[in-house]
Amino acid sequence: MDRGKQVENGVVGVPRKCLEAKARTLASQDEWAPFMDILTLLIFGVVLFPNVEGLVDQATIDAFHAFYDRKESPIVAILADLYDTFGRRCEKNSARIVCCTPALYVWLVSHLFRQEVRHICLLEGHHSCTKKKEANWDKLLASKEGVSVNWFPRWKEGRTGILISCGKFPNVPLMGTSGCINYNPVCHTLISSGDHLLGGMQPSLDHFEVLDTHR
Amino acid sequence: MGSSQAPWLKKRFYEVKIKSLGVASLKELGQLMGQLQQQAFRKAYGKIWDLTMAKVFTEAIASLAQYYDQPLRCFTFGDFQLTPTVEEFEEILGCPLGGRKPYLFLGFYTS
Repeated sequence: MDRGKQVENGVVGVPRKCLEAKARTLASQDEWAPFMDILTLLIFGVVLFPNVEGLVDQATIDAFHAFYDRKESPIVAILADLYDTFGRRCEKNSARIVCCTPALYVWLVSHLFRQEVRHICLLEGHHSCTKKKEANWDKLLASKEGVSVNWFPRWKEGRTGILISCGKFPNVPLMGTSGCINYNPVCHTLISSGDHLLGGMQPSLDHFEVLDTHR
Repeated sequence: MGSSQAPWLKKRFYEVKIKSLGVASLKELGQLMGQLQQQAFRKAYGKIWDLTMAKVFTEAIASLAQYYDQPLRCFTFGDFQLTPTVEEFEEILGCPLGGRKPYLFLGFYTS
């Protein structure tokens, strides 16, 4: 793998084309196990942790190793990168949104559209949702009200709850490949219920953010 | 025309650039697998390939970005807020990826 490494815009990684060519060769030889591993690495690089065009970067390879060898889940890192990219966008007007957009889109659609059939699988529901194609998104989001949101989709039934705090801190810290960030579900519920408890809790609700200079 | 007076357009005060991911070649690669292989893949890696197939309307993400509330880290709409949570993402990406020890990025390792 080292031999194929390239540097593009200061980011070290393996070119996507090399991996794709390798995967095709393996498929033609019926070597499915290594084929699947390479396909997963490609999906990690292109969809879950996108960075530089045409390159699967080192951070991605690291996340893939962690997933593959140490069975660690990349979900938290994906979410952290998502919040991070939106945060950067707010700070700098020219910044692009680079994150796992398919997951964000599926998430958005699952909340905004009610369907007659309540699908058990979220992705299945997503594919069968036809309204999303006709929607005028600016208009839709501007006119959306809390009562019309799909707060409790079928797949959530039987779940025990969500992670809203970390130890004594009422927020969820997230660590991603481009920095650390936290989110505060508790904060949102307090504000939306008009509760003024926030004053007393303020110190621990402070946000932290560590940005990595690599990106 | 009159569309510039439409109330929903007022909200859109900044342009958003969104990186398109270019998943066409991944789709082709995935389709090289037969039914059996696809099942095995889902079992081992969850729904990540199926997720790749979801067609994303960047328009929707651009509209959504207008509502991002930086101090609160969520999307604030008229009378409610939405936050993508770890649990929801676990469900979207499929079970084998979730419910494990989280991966923490600690810098680059030499390979």
